[in-house]
Amino acid sequence: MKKVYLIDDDDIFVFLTKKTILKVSENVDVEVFSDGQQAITHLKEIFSKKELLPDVIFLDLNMPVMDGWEFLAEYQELYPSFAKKNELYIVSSSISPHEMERSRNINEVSEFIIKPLVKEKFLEILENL
Amino acid sequence: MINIPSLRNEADRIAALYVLEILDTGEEQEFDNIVKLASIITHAPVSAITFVDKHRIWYKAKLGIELIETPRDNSVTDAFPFFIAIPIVVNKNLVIGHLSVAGPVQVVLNQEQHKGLALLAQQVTTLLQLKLPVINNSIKEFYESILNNIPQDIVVFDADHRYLFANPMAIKNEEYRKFIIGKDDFEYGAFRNRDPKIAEARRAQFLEVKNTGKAIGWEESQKDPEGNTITFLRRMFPMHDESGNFIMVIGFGIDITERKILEEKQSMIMEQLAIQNTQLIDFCNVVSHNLRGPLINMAMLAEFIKEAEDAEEQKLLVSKLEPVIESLKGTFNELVESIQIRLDRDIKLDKLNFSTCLQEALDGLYVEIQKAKAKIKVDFDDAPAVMYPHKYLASIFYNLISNAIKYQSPERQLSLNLASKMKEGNIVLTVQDNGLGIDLIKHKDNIFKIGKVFHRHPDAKGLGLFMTKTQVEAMGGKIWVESFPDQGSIFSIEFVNQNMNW
Repeated sequence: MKKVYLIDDDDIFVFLTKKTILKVSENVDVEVFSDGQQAITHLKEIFSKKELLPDVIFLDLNMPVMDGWEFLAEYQELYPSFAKKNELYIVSSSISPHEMERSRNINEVSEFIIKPLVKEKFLEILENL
Repeated sequence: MINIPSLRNEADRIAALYVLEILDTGEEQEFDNIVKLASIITHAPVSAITFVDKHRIWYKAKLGIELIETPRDNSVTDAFPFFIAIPIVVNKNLVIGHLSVAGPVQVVLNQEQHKGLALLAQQVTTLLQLKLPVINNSIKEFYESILNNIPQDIVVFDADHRYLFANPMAIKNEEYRKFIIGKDDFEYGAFRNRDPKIAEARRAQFLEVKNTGKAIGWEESQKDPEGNTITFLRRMFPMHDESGNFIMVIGFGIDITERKILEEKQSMIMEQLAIQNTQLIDFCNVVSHNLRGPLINMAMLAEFIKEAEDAEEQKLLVSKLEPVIESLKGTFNELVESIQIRLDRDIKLDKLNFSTCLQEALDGLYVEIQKAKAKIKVDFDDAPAVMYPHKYLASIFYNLISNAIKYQSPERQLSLNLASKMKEGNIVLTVQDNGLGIDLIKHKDNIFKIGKVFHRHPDAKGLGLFMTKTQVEAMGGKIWVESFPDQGSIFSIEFVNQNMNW
């Protein structure tokens, strides 16, 4: 069972992406957080518990309360203490070159994916785990 | 009368001759008397004073012949068996002409006669030099007229900062201009009843130039009699003599008011461009996030609807399309509206009562206000009215109040305080709530940005505050916020130039 975190405030997108993921594999458990604050609070609670930590994080950038960049700043500090390593993908509707460039300078970001997250891409990610 | 094909130092000789400005001048008694004396001394019937120009011999004074000039290589001397020429010498060794005597009969001159002729030739040189100051005066006049007519301020100071010269551009009044010569700025300032600080500043600048030996420049603004600001670019240059001693300072001023106005215009345009550029980036972001996001959802939904296995699922998916389309429509309309604000530069101003305009916004939000049971306190006594575009003020009230309702605290009844105050010709409107507030330490830079939301609220699109800011700034005003999480926010809006008498 692979664990996937979906951090995104857009309900429809979350609903559709969950559907996409489950179509590719039923062997995936998706947890949803509607902004960066909720996700980071949760990670701070479970960072030492291997079985609860995710394998993949899909992170949106434009979110209320704590956006993707603010989440990444805290995540970078927290990540070294994680009991298990994971992959993190930015999944954003942004097509701004500035934001892509900015993400390239963050080691913890595996790739910048422009929405939508399609089946083929998710399959590829799953196979590379 | 004499023919000299070449004289030594031809170039120097010609230069020395031209400086005297004697060629082609009229007859003068002083020179005529000398040729008469030469004839009397030598008993020769012919005598002349001639100057040797580049290609001619020119006759300044003559007796017994009628010549004005002859070519340099055409010898007149051959016509006379008796001929003696004494050189006229300037600058120790430059021969510029001759005093000569001639006659039809050969005569032998005695020593006294020779000496007399030589003395007369020297007298010609003396006479030429006596006439020089007259020439120099005309040169002085020439340069002075340039300095006096040049459209720039020029003053000259001696080594002790006393005025040696001021041109009429620097000091227009002739009386003042004459007074200042030999005085310093302190004396002149006292004479004109001016603040001695001006003289002190000038003295400091003068000393800087004197002590460093380097030119300085600065810009200076002052009011003309009509009250317009005039800007001068001023410079001071040190002057040194041949041995490097400091002797004087030249002060120089040029009116750069027009350039200054142009510069200010340019920097204003630059500022506007920078703002517009930021707005363009904001637009790019909002297109990415707020338009592209719903579009992707619609595309994905369409895909799933196609692949749906049963009618039930299809129905569910279709029902999810509607809110996406609604959100897209809302964002699109607000975007269009905010673009129009920018196009609306010359929008009409009206005298608006705050209370009337507020009531319109409250009417529009009637249902929401009833639901929130909001308490609203109003104090517009200090500044009851404002000159502003009606639709902007209505939109400002609407956005701020609907925001306050949207982000009210679930733990307490919403209370709103609205007030207007006069402040140095501007009006400041404040809208205070007791709602959720915003963490300004974290969100300081983002608060008025497009598409920025700070709360988990289904209606939060983040366009309201951006719109309000755009409307306020389009009219030259300012908007700012003070806020603490869970205590509430105070939004303040400054309406500029409200200093008129209605």
